[in-house]
Amino acid sequence: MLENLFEGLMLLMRIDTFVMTGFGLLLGMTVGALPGFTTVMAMAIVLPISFFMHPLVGIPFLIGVYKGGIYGGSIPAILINVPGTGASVVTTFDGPALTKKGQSRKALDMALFSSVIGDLSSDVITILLMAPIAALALMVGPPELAAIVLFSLVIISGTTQGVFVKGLIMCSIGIFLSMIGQDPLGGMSRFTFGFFQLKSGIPLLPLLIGLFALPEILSAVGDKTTAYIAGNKSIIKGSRLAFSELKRCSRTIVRSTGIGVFLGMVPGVGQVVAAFVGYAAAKKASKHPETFGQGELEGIAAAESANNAVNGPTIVPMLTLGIPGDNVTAILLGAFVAQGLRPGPQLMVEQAPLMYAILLAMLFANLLFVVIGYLTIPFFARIVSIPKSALLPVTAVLAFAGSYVFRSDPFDLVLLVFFGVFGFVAKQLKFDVFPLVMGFILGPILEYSFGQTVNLAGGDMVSYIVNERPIAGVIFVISLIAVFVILWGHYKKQKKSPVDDIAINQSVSEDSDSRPG
Amino acid sequence: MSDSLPTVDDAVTPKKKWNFNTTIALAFIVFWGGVYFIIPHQIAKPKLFLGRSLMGLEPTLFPTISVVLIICLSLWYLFISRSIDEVNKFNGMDKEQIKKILVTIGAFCAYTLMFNRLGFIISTILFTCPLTIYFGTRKPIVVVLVSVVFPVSIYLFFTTLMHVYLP
Repeated sequence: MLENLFEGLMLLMRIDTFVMTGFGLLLGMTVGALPGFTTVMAMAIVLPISFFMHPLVGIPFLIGVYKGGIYGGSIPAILINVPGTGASVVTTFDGPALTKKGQSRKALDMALFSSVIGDLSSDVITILLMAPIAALALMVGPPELAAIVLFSLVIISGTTQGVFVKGLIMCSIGIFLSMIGQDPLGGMSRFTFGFFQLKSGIPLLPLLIGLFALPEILSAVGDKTTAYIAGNKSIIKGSRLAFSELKRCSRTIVRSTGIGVFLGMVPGVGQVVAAFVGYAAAKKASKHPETFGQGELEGIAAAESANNAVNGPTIVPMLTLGIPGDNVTAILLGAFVAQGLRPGPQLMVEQAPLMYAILLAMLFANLLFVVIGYLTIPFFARIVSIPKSALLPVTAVLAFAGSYVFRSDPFDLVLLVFFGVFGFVAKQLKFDVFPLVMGFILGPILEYSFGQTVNLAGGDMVSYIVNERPIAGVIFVISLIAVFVILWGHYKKQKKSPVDDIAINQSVSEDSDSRPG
Repeated sequence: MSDSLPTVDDAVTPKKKWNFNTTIALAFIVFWGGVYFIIPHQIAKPKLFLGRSLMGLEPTLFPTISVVLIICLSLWYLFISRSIDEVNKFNGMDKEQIKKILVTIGAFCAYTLMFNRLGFIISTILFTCPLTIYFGTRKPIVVVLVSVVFPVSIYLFFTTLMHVYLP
């Protein structure tokens, strides 16, 4: 591992990686600071740009957009009580109160440092975990992979916003869409309806951009607000954060980082849940819980370190098994595939130094983030006042150009608009598109590994699983149990159903329909 | 919109009533039922060798499983739909908002049609200029920046810097 890590470090020593990571951070912070513009949308739009760069430039660039975006969301959350991204909803509990007290600068600094500490720690843990998990992943055969994919799909659908069955339906629709084109085992044509363009299946890029970017644009069009704090240029007030204040919150940051890392390993949970859990844990452990919600710096530290600590671990199942844990890693998976890197058990064997270089790039992105964030906070605080009327057409053009450039096929634009409108309608009707994307990505893996299992079983599937692949059987049974546990959880929640829960759920879904950002 | 927001009573004892989820569940059952019947006509048959298929897994198997699964899930969805207490966000929109969204979707469709025929720069100018003004930008400099300077910059970025083709 150390040898690969060192080789990775050597590979990373190129100036264009750092320049593009810095550019990605700035871009991410810009988008995050704009209320209504999500990090996922930004990543989906800039994804095609990364295809034409070296993997060690393009992927760190996307990582920069991701990290910058998650932090950027806290800027309007603190200054104007509007979360820039879903991940920063919890930051609005204390941020605006601190702004009212004239301590917005302190709050922004705390958000920056706790974000970086949470993110950096989770990245170190990810690097340490990667080698043992990759070694375990090598032992995974087709039956185990099919069972793991099934388990992931159940968990992803279970953690969807809203009703479980709606998540399962979206996931199944995603699997169905992945079948359009050719079947992965025999190459037989399926559901092309006579369209030549569908022979090779639905391309991932228009689907991703369509589902993640266009619905945000259409929602913003419907939103009557144009500029949030136009004219208010002096909103950043007060002194900067003192070291003693950061030290006072160190326990909270460590606790929230642990929570974020743990929740980051569970597919589909994401930053929003981590921020809520981190905040609740900090409030419970505090000697002055009554100060939470009244402008408590510890509240910001808890939320921001938890939501950023999710970033590292979500990448582990994607790199080792090819299973993305959330929509951001789904976009990153698209970048890997386009670069000719197929995430899965073999990737860490064949391309170990490159993988470690990418993981190290995540670490360096954090260090770069401290410098850029510290120097540019006043600039980004002004971005929240840019009117949407000028930004929406620009975003739409980037979405169209990005969808077109990969295959230069005008049919991709038709698919883009189709998925954009579909995503918008789904959002309005409370269907989460995330399980659909996961079903679309994981469907072919499930079908292929299931087909291989059928061939290996030679007709007697049950005795093959029970006698020769018991682990696959156990994971399959766990998946079934998970369905019942999720159903039981939903039933209990419905029975309890306090109005407070409804209010929180509504605020989350309003602000973070495209989790995590 | 306020009439559809949950109250304390609603939260404790949700009333069973026909709602948008019920309609969607029924539509799903009809749609995916139709898809089930077209499966055999939309999947090529594997070649036979001595009267037997060489493939371990029939290409129709997985699509059939997934469509049957969607139909079963839709039935479950229909069964519980009347108890689901959710807000249909379309109901909260006024005519002006719906009009704006429809105009934007129309602009997306027109842009899709123009993109390859007129080329990137001209089609983008024709797309962004009216849309920027329609969304409320009144400053001519902003309109010029968004609809002329920006498309040209993007075109140069992709074609010169990235060496990628744009029409």
